[in-house]
Formats: sequence, structure tokens, C-alpha cells
Amino acid sequence: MNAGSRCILTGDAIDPAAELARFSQDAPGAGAVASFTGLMRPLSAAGDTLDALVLEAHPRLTLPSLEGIGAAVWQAFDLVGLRIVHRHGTIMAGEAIVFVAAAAVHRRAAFDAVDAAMDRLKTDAVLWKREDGVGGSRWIEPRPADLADRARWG
Amino acid sequence: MQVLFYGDIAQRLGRELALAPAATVGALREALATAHPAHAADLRSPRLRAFVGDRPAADELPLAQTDTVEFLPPVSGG
Repeated sequence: MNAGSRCILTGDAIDPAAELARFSQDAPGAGAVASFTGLMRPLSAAGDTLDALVLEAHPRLTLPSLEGIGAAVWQAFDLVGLRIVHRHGTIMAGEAIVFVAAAAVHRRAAFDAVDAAMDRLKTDAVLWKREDGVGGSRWIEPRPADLADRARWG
Repeated sequence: MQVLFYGDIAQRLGRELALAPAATVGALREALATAHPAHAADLRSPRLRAFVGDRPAADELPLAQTDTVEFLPPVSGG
């Protein structure tokens, strides 16, 4: 793990504003900081109200999968900082699921690194996602759009 | 022999099963499919990846009696 790249898997609530503030203060030489927060939507793709999102992690493989994504993104873009924070467990509507921030000298690398990290997380992170709602539970797999997005980065 | 499941298949079969030792990962899949015919197609599918010692395990991999085999369905993070 590169000193400038950090990946965290947590069962606690993510505070995106605090994460971004902390990250921005510790990005040496950065001229650009870009970030993304993924939130649990209150409705399923079919429009049903969701009670919760359950993200199941593997006890040993999930964190290394995040770190592998972080390492790949760190290598692919000219960054001075990268942070990936992914939540697991039971998540309620409106809560943050994932936070990604990238710092670079110039903006293009920062934008693209966050984009690439999210596309990789959607298909490569070792997590299993279940939507729980009135109609029951449904396990989610990457959509064709997710796979196409992932393919953009090689 | 201990078998662990994750995700969708764990919800259907349970987190952990104990089976008689199998000679290979493929033989273990067949034993599971025979014991759980309603889920046989999923158990035999390469989309349900087998792991031994936290590494992907092909069906040809020989197993020791003390091995734990984990079955991981397609992942979806983010």
C-alpha cells in the first residue's frame, strides 16, 4: 500500500464531509481534490420502497480487494492522494455506502481516478449486496452498464 | 469437511455445511448438488467460485480432509 493511498472497510456510518475535510488537509502538493459519495437510494430499480441495504463482506478477502482497487488506481493515474472508504453491514436509505477521494496536481487525474475507482468497486469489490424491502430480499449483481463502465479502464 | 457460503447461496443453503470429505473441488460440488438438488445448477456453475485457503480453486484441485472450501457468488460492491 502506497503511503498516499488508503483503503478502509468499516461497519460504522461514513461521514463524507468529515472524510473529505480530513483528506483535503493531507494532500501534499495537490491542486485538485475530487470526491464521490455513494448513497443508499430509498427505492429499488423497480420502484419499490427499500427498508435497508445489506452489504456482506468476506472476513479476509474484502479489504484486500479494496486495496487492490486502490493500488490499481494509484498506478493508473498521477495522484498525490487516494482514499477509499467502503461500508459493510446494514445500511439505511440516505446513508453513505462508499466514499472515494483523489488528489492530484491537476484536475483531470483527480476526476478520472475517482471515476475509475467507482467503476472498479462496482464490479470487483468482494461484497455481496442485498436489498431488503416490503416485497422481500433481492441479491444484486453488477448490471451490464456496470460491466461496460468497468471495461472502460482496462 | 467444512463448506462455507456467502451472499445469495448462503441465504438459501446456510452459512456453513459439514460434508463427508471429497477428493476434489469438483467432487465436492457434485456432492453438494446431489444433497441439494433444488440448487444443483447454481452449485455446479462456474459463476459460484470455489476458494481454498483464500485462493480461487479450480474443480480439479485435490482436497485434504481438513480443508475448508468457500463458495463465493458473483460480487457487487459500491
